[in-house]
Amino acid sequence: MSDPASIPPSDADAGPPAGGGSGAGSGSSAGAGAGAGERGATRPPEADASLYLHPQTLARLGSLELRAKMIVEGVMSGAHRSPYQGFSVEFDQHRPYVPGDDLRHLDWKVFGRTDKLHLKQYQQETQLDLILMVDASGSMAYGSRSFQDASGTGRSAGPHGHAHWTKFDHATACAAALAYVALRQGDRVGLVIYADEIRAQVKRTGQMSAWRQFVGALSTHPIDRPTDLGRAIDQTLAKVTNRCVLVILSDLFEDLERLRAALARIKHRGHDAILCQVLDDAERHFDLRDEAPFEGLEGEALLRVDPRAIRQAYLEAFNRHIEGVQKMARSLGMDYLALNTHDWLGPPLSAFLAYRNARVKRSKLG
Amino acid sequence: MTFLHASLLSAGLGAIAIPVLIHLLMRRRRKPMPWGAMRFVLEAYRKTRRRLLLERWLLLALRCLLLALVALALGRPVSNAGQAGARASRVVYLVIDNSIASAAGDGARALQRHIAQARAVLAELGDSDRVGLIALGGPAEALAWPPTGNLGGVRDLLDRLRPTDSRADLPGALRLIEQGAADAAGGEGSARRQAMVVVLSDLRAGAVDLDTALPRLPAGLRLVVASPPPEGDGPAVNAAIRDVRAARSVLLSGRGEASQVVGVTLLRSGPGVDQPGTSTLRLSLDSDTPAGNAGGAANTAGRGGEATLVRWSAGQREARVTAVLESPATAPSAAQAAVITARLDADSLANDNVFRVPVEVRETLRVGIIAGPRESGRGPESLGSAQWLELALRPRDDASIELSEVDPAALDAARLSGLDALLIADPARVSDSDWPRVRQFAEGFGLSSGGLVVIFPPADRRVHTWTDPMLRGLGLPWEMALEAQATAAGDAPPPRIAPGTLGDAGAASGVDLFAAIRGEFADLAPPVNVRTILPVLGKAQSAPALALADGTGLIWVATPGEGASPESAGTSKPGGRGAIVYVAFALNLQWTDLPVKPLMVPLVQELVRQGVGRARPGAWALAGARPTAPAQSIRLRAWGAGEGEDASIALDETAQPPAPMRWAGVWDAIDARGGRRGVITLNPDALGARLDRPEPAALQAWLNPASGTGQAEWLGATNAPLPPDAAVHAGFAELSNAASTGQPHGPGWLWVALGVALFELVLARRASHAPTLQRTDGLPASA
Repeated sequence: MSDPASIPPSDADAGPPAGGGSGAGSGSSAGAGAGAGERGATRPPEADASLYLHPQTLARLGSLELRAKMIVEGVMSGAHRSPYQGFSVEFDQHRPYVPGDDLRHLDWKVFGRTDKLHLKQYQQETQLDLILMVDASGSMAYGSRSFQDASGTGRSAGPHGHAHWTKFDHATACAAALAYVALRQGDRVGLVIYADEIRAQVKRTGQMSAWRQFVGALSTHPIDRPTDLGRAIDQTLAKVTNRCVLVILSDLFEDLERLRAALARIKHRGHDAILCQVLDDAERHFDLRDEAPFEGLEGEALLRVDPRAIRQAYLEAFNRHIEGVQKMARSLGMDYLALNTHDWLGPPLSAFLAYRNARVKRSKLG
Repeated sequence: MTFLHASLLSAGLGAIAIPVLIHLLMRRRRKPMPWGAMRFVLEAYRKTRRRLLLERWLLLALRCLLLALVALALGRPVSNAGQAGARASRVVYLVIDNSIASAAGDGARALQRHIAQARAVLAELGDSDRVGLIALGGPAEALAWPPTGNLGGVRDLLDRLRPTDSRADLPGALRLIEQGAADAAGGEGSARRQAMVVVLSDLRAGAVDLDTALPRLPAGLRLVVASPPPEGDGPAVNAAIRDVRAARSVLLSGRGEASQVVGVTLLRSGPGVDQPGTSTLRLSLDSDTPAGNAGGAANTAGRGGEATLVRWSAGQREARVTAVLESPATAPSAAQAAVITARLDADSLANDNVFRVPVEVRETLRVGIIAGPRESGRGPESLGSAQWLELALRPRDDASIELSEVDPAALDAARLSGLDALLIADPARVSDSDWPRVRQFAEGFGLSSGGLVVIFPPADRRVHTWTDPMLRGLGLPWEMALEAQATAAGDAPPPRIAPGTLGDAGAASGVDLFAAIRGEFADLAPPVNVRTILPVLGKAQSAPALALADGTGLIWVATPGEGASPESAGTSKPGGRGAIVYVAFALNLQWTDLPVKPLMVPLVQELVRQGVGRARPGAWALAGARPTAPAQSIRLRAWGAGEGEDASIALDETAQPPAPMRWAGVWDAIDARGGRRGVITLNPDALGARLDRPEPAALQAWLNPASGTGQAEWLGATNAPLPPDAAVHAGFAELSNAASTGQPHGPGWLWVALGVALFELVLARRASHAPTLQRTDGLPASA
C-alpha cells in the first residue's frame, strides 16, 4: 500500500491535459495540469484537487478513467493520508511464544532485553479486500442535472447518449476513485455491478494495471430492472472466503426490511460494509410543477398525478426511508455516506475517508 | 318554470362544456417524465388518491354548476308553481298622462301617443284580465276603478280623454293603486292575479318632482314606464304664464280707472331653451257682458291688449314682465265682473298661454271711521286722526269713497256689513267685547268677501290698555307696548322714513299695498318725521309694511286670526278674507308731521284702496284645485255658457266644488237667489307644463323605490325601429308573459352563483397546492 503523501507534487503541477481516454498516469498529469492552469500555480494543491473533484470538472475530462484519477488525486492531496492504509498489516501487540509458533515473528529485541520469547502480533494478519458493489438498476438512471451543465464542455450528452448526469454516473465515478485509491495502496479490489442480480463483476486483484479493467466494467449503463441487493450480496459473499469491506453504491430504493436482511448477512459473515447512498436533488426536494405523467424506470406503469398535490406525502415517505436507512446503518455498525449528484464528489468523499481513517485509529488506540 | 330569455339560457348551458373540455384537454398526452424514486411517488399517490379525486371532481362539478347558475340567471326563470299550468289572469293598472304637459306637441299631442300605447296594451290582454285606468291630470283620477274586465269600456274612456290644465300627479296615482291593491288583497282570488302598473307618460319636468319621494307600491307589484320618445321628436320650447299680479285688485268705476300696471311672471322650458327667443304678451281687461259672452268658448272678448315683446336670452327660464293694461274704451261697470287676461302667442303648448286674474269693480268704497271726540280748537294742531283721515280720503269732491262715522257703541253686523273698510282712529273707544265683532267684520261676517280694518293709536292717552283686548279680539300674534315711545332719544332728530323701508307686505297674498306709490316714495318719504309711536314689540311673523330707517315698524299688516293659523305665503287662496292694518302712530302733529306732508294723501288712499283689495284676495287658483267660492254661493257657472247649457258645478256646504277642477276657466259664484257672489278663475299650472327632460339616472332613482320589485322597468326601447305604440305592444307582450307566469328570479340565482363562485375559488386555491412562502423539506441530515 502506498502512502498518498508519496505522490510527487509534480503530478499535480503537470502540464495541460493530453486528452481523454489516456491511462492512469497520463490522466493524472492531464487533470492536474488543467487544475493548475485554471486556478494558478500559487494555489495550494488541495484547493486545485477539490476543484477537479466537482462533477462538472470530471465531466469535462470526457472519460470515466480520467475522471476517476482526478478524484483520487484530489482525495489524496486533500486528506494527505489514504484511509485504506489501515487495511494492510500493522503491529498490534505482543504475546508469549508457544510451541508451534512461527519463529519469524519472534521479537528478538524484546528477547534481548527481557530474556523472554514474545511474538509480534499484527492487527490484520491477512489483507482486507475491497469489493465495490455498484447498483445498476433502473432507478439509478435518473438525474435531473443536465449533462451539459455538469460537464461544462458543451457536450449535451454522456457517453451513452443520456442527457443528464445520472445517479449511476455519480456512483461509477465514486467507485472508480475508490478503486484507484485502494489499488494504489496495494489492497485487492473487486467490482460487482448488480441490479436484480449480478450483471457484471471484476475479480479481486491488487494489480494497479487492473484499474483500467475496472473502468471498462463501469462504463456500462443501468438496466430497466429493479434492485435486489440481497440476492447480489448472496451471490457476492458466496465467492468470498476472507474478510472484506463491501462498499455499496446505490440509491438504496428498496424495501427497508429486505435491505436490513441483506446487510445483516454481511455483518453476520464478519464483513464490513460502507453504504454510499446516491441521491438526486429533484428526488430530495420533489419541487416539480409540470403535470407530465411519471414514468418509472424499473418497469412501473405511467402515473398521472399533480406533483404539487402529492408533494407533502412524497417527502414524508422519502424522508422516512432515508432516516430508516441511516438508522439501519448505525444499528449494524456500518458507515453511511450520502452523495448528491448536484454536489461535488470530492469534498464528501474525502471528508468521509478522513472520518473513517480517524475512527479506525481511535479503535486501535482504544 | 319558463324563461324570459331562453336563448341566453341555452348559450349558458352550452358553456358548461367549457370546463369539461378544459378538463379533458388537461388530460392530453404529454411526454412522460422518467422518475427514479417511483416507489415514493406511488406511496404518496396511494395515500392521497381519494382526496385528489374528490377535489378534482368536486371542482369540475362546481365549475359546471357555476356556469349553469349564471345561465339560469341570464335566462330569468319564472316559476309557475301553484298555477297548475293555467295562465293566471292579470291586473294591469294603466296610468295615462293627460296632464297639461300631455297637450304639448307640434303635430300629434303626447296624449294621443299615450292613448295609442294604452290601446296597444289593451290589445295584449285577454278576457280574464282586468284593467284599471287612472288619469294623471292632477289630482290623479281613477276612471276605471276597480279594475274591470270590460276592455271595450276602457277603450271608450280612453277616447274621451283630453288634456287637463293641471300638472301630473304620479304620487296620487300610485297612492290610488296602493290603496286599491291593498283592498283587492283581501278579495277572493286575488292571490292568483299578477299585477303591474303601466305608466304612459313622457315624465317631463312638469310631471316629475324629484325632491318628493313616490309612495311604494305593494311588494311584487311591478312599475313599468313607457320609454319617452327621442328628444328630437318632442316639442322644442314652451313659454307659460306662471303668475299675474295687478297693481289694483279693486277698480273704482266712478273714477274711470282701469289702466293699471300688471306684473307677469313667465316660464320657459323645453329642449330649445338654450336658444334665445321671443314671446309676445298681451293684456286685456275682460268682463262678462252679454256681448262678450257671445263668443262662448273664450269666455270673454278682450278689450285693450297692447303687445309686449319679451326677449329670452339663451338658457333663460324665467322672466318677470311689467306691462301696462291700458284703460279700455268702455270701462266695466260696477255691475260687471272683470278679469285681467294675459295671453302669450302660440307655442308648443297652447294650454298654458292664458292666465286670468279677477278684479273687483266697485262704484264706490264705503269707509267707516270710529273717531274720538273732536277738538274744539282751530288750526291743524287741533285736528285729530279722524279729521286727517277724512281730508286724506276725500281731498276733493270725489264720490268714489263714501265716508261715514261709526258709533263705537253700536258695532253690530247690520251697520258694519255695508262697509268696505273700517278706520279706527280711537281704538280705546271700542269695548273689549266689540273687538271680536270687528274681526267678524274683517272676515266678512261669513257673508261678504271680507273687510279692511285700519287701527291708529289715540294721541290723547298715556296708557294704552286697549291693545291687549284688541290683539285677543282680532286674533293677532303680536305683542304691543302699553305706552307711546319716542322714536329718538332726547333732542335728537327722529329717524327718517328711508325709501328702502317700504315693505312688500301684502305682496305675498297677491296685493302690494303700496305698489302704486312705490315709484314716488323716494321723493315723498324723506320730509316726514315720526316722533312718537306705539310700537309692536318683539318679532312679528312678517316684516312691517313701512318702517323707519332704524327698522322700527310703522305700519303692520295681518290677517284676522293669523295667530291661530298663520296664512301660508304663495299663491292666492280663494276664500281667505280680511286684512288688519295697524299704524303705529296717531295722525296728530305731536306724533308726526305726516298729515301736513305730501305723502299723507297717497299713503292713506293706497292704504285704504289696496287694503280693501288685500282683504278680498283675488279668487284665482291653479287647475286641479278645489277653489272656495264666496260664502252663500251654491254653484259655479262658467263664463260664456248659455242659460240652457249645463255648465254649472254645484258647491257643497263649504262652498267648494265636490271634485277638483282640472281645467282653466272663469266661473261666477252664484247664490241661491241667482245673484253673483264673486268670480273665480282657474289657471293652467305653468310649473306642470315644463317640458324639460329630467336626467335619466335621477329619474330612474326616483322611480325605483316606488316599484314593488324595487326596480322600475321601461317599456318600448327608444331606439326600437317601431312606432311608440308598437314598441309598447311588443315590450308589454314580453312583460305580460312573464307576469302571467310569475316573477323572474334572475337576481336570486346570481347571488347563488356568486356563492358557488366563492366556494369554487377557495377550493381551487386549496386544490392548486401552490407553494407557500415558507417551506421546509425536513430532509434528514446525512452522515
